[in-house]
Amino acid sequence: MLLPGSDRTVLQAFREGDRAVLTRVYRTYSPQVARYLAQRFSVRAGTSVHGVSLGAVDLDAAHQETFVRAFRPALRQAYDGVRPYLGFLLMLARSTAVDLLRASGRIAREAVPLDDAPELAQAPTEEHGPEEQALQAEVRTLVREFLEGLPEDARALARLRFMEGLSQEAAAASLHLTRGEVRVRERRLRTQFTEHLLARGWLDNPLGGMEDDP
Amino acid sequence: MSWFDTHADGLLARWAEGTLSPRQSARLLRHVHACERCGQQYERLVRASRLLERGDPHAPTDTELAVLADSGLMAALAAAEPEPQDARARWPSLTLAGGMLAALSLAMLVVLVRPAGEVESWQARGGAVPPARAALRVFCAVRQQPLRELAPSQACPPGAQLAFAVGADAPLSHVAVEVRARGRQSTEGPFAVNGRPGSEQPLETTLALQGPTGEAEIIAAFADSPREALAALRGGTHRGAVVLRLPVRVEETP
Repeated sequence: MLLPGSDRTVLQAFREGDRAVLTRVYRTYSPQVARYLAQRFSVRAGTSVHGVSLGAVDLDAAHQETFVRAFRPALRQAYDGVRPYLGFLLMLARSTAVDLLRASGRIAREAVPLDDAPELAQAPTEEHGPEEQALQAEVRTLVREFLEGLPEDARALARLRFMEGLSQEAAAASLHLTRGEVRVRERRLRTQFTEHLLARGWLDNPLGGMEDDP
Repeated sequence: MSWFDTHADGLLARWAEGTLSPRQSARLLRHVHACERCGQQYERLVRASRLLERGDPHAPTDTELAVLADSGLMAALAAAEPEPQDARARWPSLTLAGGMLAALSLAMLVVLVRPAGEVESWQARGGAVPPARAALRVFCAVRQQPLRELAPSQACPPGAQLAFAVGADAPLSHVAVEVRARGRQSTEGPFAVNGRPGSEQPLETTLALQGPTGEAEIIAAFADSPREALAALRGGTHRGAVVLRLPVRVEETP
């Protein structure tokens, strides 16, 4: 099915390229495609298997390219309207990820002959390489130091919003604040986090200070 | 739209706050693809934000998801446009569009690099240049002065901003632009192309015309995907890509 609860008329409009329907489809599946593409993939090339993931910039490219491919007339016609459309999209997303990883040299072309595509399976628990582990350890330390340095009320907000995943409304109710107050405090929290990253040298300082560069 | 926006790298601070508008989100992501240093900053900021907000370096934050959703929609809709059924059948309308563009708009002479494989099917008798499937217009923006469209080899002063309007027929869906002057080059894009030849639409970006006085070249590469547009700009060969070039002079104008 194309969209939850949709009927044949929606599928027909999709196949004809109706922009309103295409926009609904895009909005519905965009987060799931992005989450899928952000995960770590296990790549099998010959007898060796290693984990690889798209960077944040490549994630944007892959996400956009997935929908560009999916919305082209030929592929809109190819979708049968019976199978879940998300599965169709994720298949395209995987193919796009492979293309990007090949193009960036992170999957060796010679190790992945065209008639023997690599098996990509999501493997979030796979061991990371030493460089990746070092980077993660560094960022985890930065995050822990930031949280430990916060006043109690800000730390409580971070815990509810980020660690427990509560909505702003639920966090506001728990902290006896209005939603507006939570929004303002959350923005301040994010700003403080960026300042912390700048102060520790994780980011160049200042972020907006390269206006004269090409 | 502002012709004088500051460098998109400044938008990273707004990204971190989660306060980017959809237009700014799209601009930031286009920019980090073209600017290696800004791309690295973006990667590091995203990595740290994911760990703070999700506790997982491979779980996108809500800000990321919102930015991705905003930035890719126009490109996806552009890709949904029907492709030409028969290139030969389109010849009369393209000729008309090209003629109107030349007559009505301070049209620019552009050097069209024909993609390999298409030349034979489009070759006109007598060696005439076939009409372009893509159009580029370039404007010189100087503070306190009206916007001025540039014809080939016309002058624009150092430090001025260049603004662009583009149009292309399907399947050309994306464009990347670059200014090259005396060994320096500035790139923006890729952008989704929303206009068509004869009804070009402005790109939401500007490029500074930097460097000493002399010759400069403005290049626009059109292709059917963001990646191919960038590849074509960098000299890669891709069937169907179109690269337009406009020579201009960098010098003070009266």
